[in-house]
Amino acid sequence: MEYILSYIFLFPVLVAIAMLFIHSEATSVFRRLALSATSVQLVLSILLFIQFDRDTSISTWSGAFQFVEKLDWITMKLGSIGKLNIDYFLGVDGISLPLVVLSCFVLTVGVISSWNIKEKAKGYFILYLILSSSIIGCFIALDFFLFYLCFEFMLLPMFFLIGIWGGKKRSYASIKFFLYTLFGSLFILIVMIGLYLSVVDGNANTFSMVRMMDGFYDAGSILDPASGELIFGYSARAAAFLFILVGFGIKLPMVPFHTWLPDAHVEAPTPISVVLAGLLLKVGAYGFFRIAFGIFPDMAAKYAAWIAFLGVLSIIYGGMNALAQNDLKRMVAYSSVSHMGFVFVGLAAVTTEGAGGALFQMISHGLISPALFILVGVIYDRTSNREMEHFSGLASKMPVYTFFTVVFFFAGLGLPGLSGFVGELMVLIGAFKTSSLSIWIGILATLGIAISAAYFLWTIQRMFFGKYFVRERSWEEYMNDLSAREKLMLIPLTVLVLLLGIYPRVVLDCSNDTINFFVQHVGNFNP
Amino acid sequence: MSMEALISLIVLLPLLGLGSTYALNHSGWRVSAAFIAGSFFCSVYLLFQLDSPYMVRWEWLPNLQVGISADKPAAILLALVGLLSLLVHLFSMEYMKDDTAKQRYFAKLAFFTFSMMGLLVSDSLILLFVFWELVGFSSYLLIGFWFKKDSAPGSARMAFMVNKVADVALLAGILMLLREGDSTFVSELGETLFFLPSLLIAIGAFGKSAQLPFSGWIVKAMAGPTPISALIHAATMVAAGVYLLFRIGPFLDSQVLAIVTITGIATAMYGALSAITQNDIKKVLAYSTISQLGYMVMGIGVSAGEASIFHLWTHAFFKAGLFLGAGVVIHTLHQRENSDPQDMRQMGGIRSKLPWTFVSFLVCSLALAGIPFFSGFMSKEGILLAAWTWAEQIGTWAYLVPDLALVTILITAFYVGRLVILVFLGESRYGTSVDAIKFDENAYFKIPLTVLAIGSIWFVYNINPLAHTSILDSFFGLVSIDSDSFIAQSGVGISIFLSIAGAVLAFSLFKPKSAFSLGYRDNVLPNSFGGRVIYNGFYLINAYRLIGTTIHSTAQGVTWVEKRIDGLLHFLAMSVVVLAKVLAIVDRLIIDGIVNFLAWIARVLGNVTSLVHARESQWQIIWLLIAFVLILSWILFF
Repeated sequence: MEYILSYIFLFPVLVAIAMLFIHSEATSVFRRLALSATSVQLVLSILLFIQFDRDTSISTWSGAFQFVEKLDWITMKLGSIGKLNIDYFLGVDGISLPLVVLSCFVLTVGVISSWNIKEKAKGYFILYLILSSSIIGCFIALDFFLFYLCFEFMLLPMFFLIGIWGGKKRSYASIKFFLYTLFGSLFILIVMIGLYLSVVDGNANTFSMVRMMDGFYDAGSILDPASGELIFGYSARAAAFLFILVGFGIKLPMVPFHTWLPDAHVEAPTPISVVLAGLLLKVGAYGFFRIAFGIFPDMAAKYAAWIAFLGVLSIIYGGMNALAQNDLKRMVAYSSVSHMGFVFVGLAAVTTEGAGGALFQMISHGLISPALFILVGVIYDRTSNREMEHFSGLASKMPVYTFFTVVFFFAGLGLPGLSGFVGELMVLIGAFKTSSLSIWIGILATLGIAISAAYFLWTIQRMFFGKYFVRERSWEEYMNDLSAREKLMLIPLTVLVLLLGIYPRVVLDCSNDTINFFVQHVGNFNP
Repeated sequence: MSMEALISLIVLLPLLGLGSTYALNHSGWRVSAAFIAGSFFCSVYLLFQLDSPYMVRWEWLPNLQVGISADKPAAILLALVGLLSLLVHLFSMEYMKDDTAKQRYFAKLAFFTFSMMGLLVSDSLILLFVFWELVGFSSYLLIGFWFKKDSAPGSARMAFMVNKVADVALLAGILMLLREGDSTFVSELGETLFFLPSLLIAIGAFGKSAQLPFSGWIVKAMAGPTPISALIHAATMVAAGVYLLFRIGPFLDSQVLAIVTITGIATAMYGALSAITQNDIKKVLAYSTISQLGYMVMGIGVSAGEASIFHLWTHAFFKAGLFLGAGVVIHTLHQRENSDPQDMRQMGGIRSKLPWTFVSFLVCSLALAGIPFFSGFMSKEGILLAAWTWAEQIGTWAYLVPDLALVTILITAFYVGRLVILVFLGESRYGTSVDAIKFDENAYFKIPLTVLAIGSIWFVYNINPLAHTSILDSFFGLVSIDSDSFIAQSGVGISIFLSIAGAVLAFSLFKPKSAFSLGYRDNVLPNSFGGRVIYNGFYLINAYRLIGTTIHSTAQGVTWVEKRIDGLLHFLAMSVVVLAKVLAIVDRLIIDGIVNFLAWIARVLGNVTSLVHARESQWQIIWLLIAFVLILSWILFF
């Protein structure tokens, strides 16, 4: 139990290494191995969830983390510049714990969704497992260097997974995805170096994010809030915050840095879309929690109104785009942009409801959007097509498929009783309650809900209701209702979405203390 | 039985019904009806058990409590919803007998009942909003029940969207209460709310109760099965807005109350006018529902919430009775091929064929028209008198409100008379032979119709047929109107006169063998401007469509912007590539060129010197010596 985080983190990589020694003809072995690896992760993460101590009184960030593992990793003398100290430093708090559990669950679903991948299966599953480890690593790393390493390492498998197993324009989409996110992470790299040079643990500089959040700055260093260092006439901290905003904003994605997302989603194979929407976007949002708001609370409080504005912009702009799409997958992709906007609004509110809602919205979207992409995959697997106009009246031919679609579309448009509502409600409560945000932020965000109702309902009407029709005669024989494998993915997702919608405290109880401290931490700087 | 268990049973039994429709394949829907009956009997039991309001709260989200409260108004309305739901279940057993998707139908019906019960007991406005949305969702599912029909899915979507817009206002209003630091528990409200939250909450209520400008969705909702129209879109769900206003009305800003009053009376007029020329039996009833809801909302506005709730109650009976009666007619005429079973132009003379339906329909019609000795008269009178009292306090323009209400009474009696005459009296206008149709009223139809008709007669509520008070007052509270004043008594007199006049007018125009009646079968749609406006419900639905298409074209515009943004980024990326290419050319031509040039020079020099190299080595040594001597001498001598 002592090294449970390391097991969750590194187990998939170990399995991936083992896969290297298996003959690549044995297709089915790889998927079974991958499934067992993610299942082990899932079981361990559930254990972690159960054992997590929910009643803690947090007074500093260093007291917030549980299951901490800290080892010296790299120590390098750099002559006159000093010493490079990198630790292998893991831990979870109430913010990262739900995300770890979500990741393990979605990754397992992703393997089931990859079951039919036959082409170059060895490469596929090895890359998938490396991706798994890097995602988990992002959520549990407390050393900035380790975090950055994992953050960058997600790109590589993702690039190949889209670029090799993707759709027609896959190489364009994968290059676009890669360049976009690489561009973003360069900004983060700069800030990381700046932080390393400014934050100390004892006498030595450190990459420890905990020290950074607790604000142990070397007096007079570049990012020390007290030093008021200027770069080209701008406050160094403000510049660093802006860099972080762009870096994670691209990942989140935040309008106007979102245009990689629709292309990447449309070209990615279904399981990769599932992981991309369910988890990768959450890494961006997690970066906001941990780094933008955690390490730069003063700047976050100062620019909260702008962040809220960007959130509302994402909600409305993403929603309007979704309304205009004819490609089902593109519609779902834009709905992701819209829903992630709520995370921004919630964070910017800096209230318990807002921040808790932002986290809850991440979890909820992490369940709903994978389901939506699986549902898109159902129709695409059968016909290699997903133009809405090519289908109509599917409800009479595929009632079970329609049932799940209605459930998740309504979860997406915020029907009470399903998880989407709780996240949006909490974010809106936060946005309305806080006096630091204009009331228009709340009202416009509420309008976003009506827009999401418009595009989801229109899609249901066009594709599922009316007289049965498919464009090509040849598709007819494949139009069977859901297979057992597809149900196996959708039923647990439905159960979780319902559970979180009715009893949201499953998540909120374990995150509450941390969220409270987070709000207090940022709220201290409220103007 | 403890209160907690009782209320849980009332609310949750319908949910068990939902489960049973799917769990017990074939007879599940009958079991579901039994669960609804259980819920109804529990709510009746609750009526007798309840002395003081019963409240429970729990922490649903951190720092956010929600709670339920069962007080007398909630309890009596629980019983109403339970009873109506039970009757509609009974009715549907026959009505939906041959439908292959019975299971789905009864499951949705049970889900609706659950949501509506939950809405009634919600004390926290947040919890109320939860059930509010669920009610709207089940309404969406039931309107679109026959999803293969061309019209149903679109109608369901429009109804849901119109509601959703109002719901957004409601949610914003509720959350604004939190911003102002007010309680979100209805039972804790004390002070008058601010203007904006009041207005937003009222708009939310307007949406669900189909007030202007949201009225059009009810007409669209008629695409659902007729028993659904009876339960959801006439008797219960649409009353949710009135119920919310009843609860929150006393705390609304006074300006907002004036807006509520004006909206109410405008809607009442709007519905009554639009109902006059309709040829679709369900559309007449839909517009009449809009009109009656307008009455109730107006009642809230003039601070007579109790009278509104009484009208809600009586309206639930007679309107459900009318819809179910229409359902019997539609069900029967559905046997004809190639004709619209809802078109009144192809009805007529059904009285003798469906006598039981006729009698119950007539009773409910008289209640709707506001004829004395029927329930509608009593409850409408309360609202009317309150409006009068209110107008006296405000004066001038305010008298327009009760006056328009009186005009509405006239119009109502007129269109109701027209409806009854055209459907039931006179010669049949079926087209096909009457013998081809099987007329059958069995117990599944008769029992609900009878119960609803009895509920529309005066003595159920008060021995005095002209009273506006009833035995239900002990549940809603008493309307405080001075009913002995001269103006009140004359008001009662005028309204009786107007309702009878309207009915007589209808009879004289539409009576059997009249010119209108003989030509009605081939009645074409109105041609005049006014006629078309009224027939199309003031083009409200067209306005919704226009808004919808505008939003869609805006969305297309946003996507155009999106493509430009993507294009710009693409352009930036491409310019980097182009720059790289240019640099590559520069690299090759200039930098490489310099190196090559140097290399070329070296090569040329090399070649020149190689000419030298080519000679004998002795010569080279001699040249070297000569050069050495020359350089040495140059250094020494110059």
